[in-house]
Parts: sequence; structure tokens; C-alpha cells
Amino acid sequence: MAEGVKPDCPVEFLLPGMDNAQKQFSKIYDQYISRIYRFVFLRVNSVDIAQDLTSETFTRAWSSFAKASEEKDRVKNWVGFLYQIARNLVTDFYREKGKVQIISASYSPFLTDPSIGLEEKAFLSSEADQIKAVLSKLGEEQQEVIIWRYLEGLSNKEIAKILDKPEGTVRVIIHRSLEFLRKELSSFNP
Amino acid sequence: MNEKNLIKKIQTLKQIEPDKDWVALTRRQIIGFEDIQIRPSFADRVLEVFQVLPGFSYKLALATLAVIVALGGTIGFSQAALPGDLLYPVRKLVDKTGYLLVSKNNQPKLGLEIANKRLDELTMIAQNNQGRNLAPAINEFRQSMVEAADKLKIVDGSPKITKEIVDQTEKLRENKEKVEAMGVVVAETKELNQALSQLVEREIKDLENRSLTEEQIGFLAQVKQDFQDGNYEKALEGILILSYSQE
Repeated sequence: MAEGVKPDCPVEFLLPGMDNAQKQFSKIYDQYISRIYRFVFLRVNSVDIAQDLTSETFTRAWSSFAKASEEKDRVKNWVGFLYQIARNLVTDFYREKGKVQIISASYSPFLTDPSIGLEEKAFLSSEADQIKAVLSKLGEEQQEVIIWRYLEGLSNKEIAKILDKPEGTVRVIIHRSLEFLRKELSSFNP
Repeated sequence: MNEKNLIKKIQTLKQIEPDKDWVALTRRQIIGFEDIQIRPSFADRVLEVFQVLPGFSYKLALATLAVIVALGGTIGFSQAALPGDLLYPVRKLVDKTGYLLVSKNNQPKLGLEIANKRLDELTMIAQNNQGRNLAPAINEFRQSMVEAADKLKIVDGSPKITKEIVDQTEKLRENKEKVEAMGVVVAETKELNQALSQLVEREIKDLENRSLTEEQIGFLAQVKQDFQDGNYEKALEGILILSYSQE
């Protein structure tokens, strides 16, 4: 697992007024916010909804973290814990919306890195749009597995733990999903 | 398309990043005020450069900094700077030199005026949705409140000064409400409350030692009640009325 991921904001120093729990959770927040946001965004295809659900994920995580007074109550596997909350929220969201996948027309402008040139951005955007379109055709679980494996760098073992399934099943899901993506993408580039 | 190329394509989605301002705001909303990460100011960065020089001295570095700033004529420009901006430390420095130019009795008023100024900046930033400047602005406001509270310790209790403090405190409360109405949560100003509490307590003790009419004694009892309820602003207004009637 890619622990120790570079935080989104440069952490020069933390204010002395922060208590220990805030400091610890702040680090967790910085480490995982992008990953959870990306995961949720790819599942819901909307910046606003992704922001809401990601924010709710961390609110719940913070509430659980702040309540855990003893070491034994503390979360050991943050990556799994956060993804679990996030996927439950996404599931609830679709349940409320009558299981309709939202395909937003505004998902293209997500290439925010200013160091990338316009041409490269356009190329990446079209590639990313293609892959995103075909990814959304996969089933819920298949999407999650592909995101975790190839975007977030989680091992099969870690994914199996989150899904509570044997590692072999995860390998099969990955294999079938890649096959599906390959076929679908070839229709873009015949 | 082989598997390697396919995975490479999937990984283009890594470009998806949350908006940085949203990340900062959400962190604040979830974890609270104290969890603010501040980038070092321009002055801090310049000092870092000086530190690599042999025979580094803070005094020398600061003097050089001051000369550069003065020569550049940046003071004028700095007055429009906001927390997090390049010239903001200069603006702060100009504000702080105000303490050298006023009498000791007027320093509490100036302290509160500066705190109000910091709140004005915060309001402007919130209005313009400048998320990047928000965290430094809240930090600056907090620091100014600590300083204002510190200056309140030297109040001599004259009605004129008490009135100015009441006015400024009232303005501070209004500005704070204004900025909070825009969704910016400004932390409790414990330091100021503590300083006001000490000030009110001092004034009450002083009034107790004076000869008061029955009506004034009744009024003082109300002031004490306000003090006990933590309503220091109202208690100060009562003290002010009592002080004027004593003169």
C-alpha cells in the first residue's frame, strides 16, 4: 500500500493550539483526501456530489477518531476504514437516487495541474474521458477494484480485506474487468 | 492494446484532484479552527535564505530586510495586502508601529482597532471567496486578539477609555457575527473574554470602594449579575454609566 503519500497541502508547521488528536487526524486527512475524493468522484461523476460525500466520509471518520479514547478502540487500517465509509455513502446515495448512475457533462475539467501544457492537457483529458466512460460501464464492485488496484496502488490482499472476499476472487474480478475495458476501449481506437 | 497500455490509460485518471481551496475549507470545517496549516510568510522565506550565509545574524538579516522594504517603497502598496499576500508582513509591521506612537492608555483601544481591522480583512477574503488567504487571515485575527487582550491589562479605568473599549468591543462582536454569517467559523476569543473579565472585576472592586447612592448600589448589583453571567460588554456599559454619574 502506498502509505506516506505526499500531502495535498505542504505541511510547513501546525499551530501550537492544536491538540494531539487534531494533529493526528490532520495528517490522516492530508494523506487520504485526494484518494477518497478521486474514488468517490469516479463513482458518482459529479464534483459537487463527490465533495459532499468525501466531506461526509471524513466527518464520520473524525467523529469515530475523536470518540476512541483508548488505543484498542483506534482504527488500525485507515485506508480500508475510509474506503469502507466512502463506498457505503456512495451506495446509500445511489439507493436514494433510485440506482441511477449520474453521468455528468462537467467531468472533463478535472485536470487541474497547472504544470501540464494545454496540448498535453487536452490529450490527457480525452484519454481520461475515454477510460472514465468505459469504467462507468463496469459493475459497482468491478469499478471499485480497478480504482483501488491501478489508481490507488492497493494490493490484492488489501482489496480483498475491504471487500471481505478471498484474494482469488479479487484476481478474477481484476482479470475480467481489464478484459472488458480493453474491448470497450478498442471501440474508441479501432 | 496490451495490458501495460491499458493500465497506463487507467492511470491517467490520477489527474483527478480535488480543488485545493475546498480541501482546506473542508479540513477546517471538520477538524476545527486550530487545524490550519500556514505557509511561511515572505519574511520567513527571506530569513531562511540569510541563514545559509556564514556569520548569519537575525539582527543583520532583519535590518537588511527593513532596508529592502523601505527602498522599494512597498509600504504604500502593502496597505492593500491581505493575509497570505507577499506584502502583508509589511502592513502588519506598520500597524504595530502604531503602538509606539500612542500613549500607554490608548494602547488597549489601538489593540482592539487592529483586531477589528483583521476581522475586516477576514470579511473581505470571505466575500471574495479567497480560500487560500482564509487560513492565514484567521490566524492573524487570532494573534491580534491575543495582543488586544494583553493591552487591556493596562487599562487605567477612566470613563473615556472604558467607553472606547466598549465601542470597539461592540464593533468586534458585530464584525465577528458578520464574518460568521458568511460561513467562516472564527474560534472563541477566550483571551479577550478573559481580559474583559479581569477588567470588569477590577472596575467593580473600584466602584465598591466608592460611596454610592442606593440607586447606584442597585445598578452595581445588576453589573455584578452581568459579570457573573459572562456578559462583560453589558457589564462594562453599566460601569461606564456608573463612572459618569460619579464624576
